[in-house]
Amino acid sequence: MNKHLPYRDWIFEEETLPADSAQALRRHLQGCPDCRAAAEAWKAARQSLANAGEKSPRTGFTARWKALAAERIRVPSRRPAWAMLAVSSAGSLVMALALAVQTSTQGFSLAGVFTRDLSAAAGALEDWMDTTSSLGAFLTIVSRSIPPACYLFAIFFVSLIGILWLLLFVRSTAQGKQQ
Amino acid sequence: MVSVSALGQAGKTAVGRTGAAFKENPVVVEIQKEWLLAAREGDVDAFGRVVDAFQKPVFNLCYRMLGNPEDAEDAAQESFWRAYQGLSKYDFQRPFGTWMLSIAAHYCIDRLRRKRPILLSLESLLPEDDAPDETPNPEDQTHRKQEQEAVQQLLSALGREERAMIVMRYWHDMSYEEIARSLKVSVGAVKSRLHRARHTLAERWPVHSLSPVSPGGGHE
Repeated sequence: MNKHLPYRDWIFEEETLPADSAQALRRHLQGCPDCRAAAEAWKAARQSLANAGEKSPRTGFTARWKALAAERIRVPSRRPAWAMLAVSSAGSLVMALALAVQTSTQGFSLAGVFTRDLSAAAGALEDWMDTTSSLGAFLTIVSRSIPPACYLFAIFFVSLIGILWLLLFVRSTAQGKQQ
Repeated sequence: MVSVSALGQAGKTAVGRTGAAFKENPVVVEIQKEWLLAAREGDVDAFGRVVDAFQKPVFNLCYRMLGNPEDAEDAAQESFWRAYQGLSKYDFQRPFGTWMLSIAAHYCIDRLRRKRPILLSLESLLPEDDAPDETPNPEDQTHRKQEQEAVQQLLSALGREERAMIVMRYWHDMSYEEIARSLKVSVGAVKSRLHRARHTLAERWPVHSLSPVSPGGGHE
């Protein structure tokens, strides 16, 4: 058994110890150089933290912050616009590829989209009831159950967001140059 | 309308070294609310007053966390910018100081996670131009610089979160509950990690101390 326990824990305790524990710790410290060294080291370390004081920034900190804020307000970060454009472009591409695969294997006509979608969804539901729940089968069913019309809508929507972000980006850049 | 000097005075009261710094008195809260409400509406100058009032504790936390004034300046500036942008999420029931320090601590922890910090301050090599000099005696100045360095060395022995906890506890007198809330951990975790941190600091003290306390026997 460790003879320093529980005294070593008590040394680093912040709460005031009960009188009997404090007395026991005092007795232990008198007879244990290791624990006494630990106690004195912590006391000295704590004192050095207290002596260190609060560090001040260079003068003009607030003025520098205001300049930073003004700059960031004037020229908003370009990253979100480019990030959104990249994500929406990648999303559109993936959707277009998925649509291409689906239409090439199933044939595609706008008139038949909705009737075929209904039967595809029903078939997918039926498959789902019968299939074991492996991830691959699940993903296959999910991809089959998304109708081409949804793909078309998603491509349109994502592209629209991309174009919108591009327009906003161009406008904000132009405003920044004017100012 | 409160006068500019009154605002300044209130700001200074709000950033004292003790725990009272963030347990604002009603006047300070009232004034700061004004600033914060205006800042929430996009008034940069109003938030500038908040920056002015809290620059010292925020910079100090960043400095103690990152270990050099250049990084601390960047981190403090960024923390205030994030606070300004996130003002709509600020809960007025919560002391602004602890909320602000929480933002700064999280930013510094993330920054330390991304790169290893330079723990030895460049100030020890360069003359300090702008910092207020309260000790004209060159010997005292040298001693203070060395002591600051020793403190940074001590802090560098701690992990990121433990360092933040120690700074919040011993520089900003935050309670366990406030630290827990700021760092999004349990009160129990704060207590145990602070306990461990104190142990580490004591272990490191004789090694890095400039004038080690003679403990009547080495402590290993």
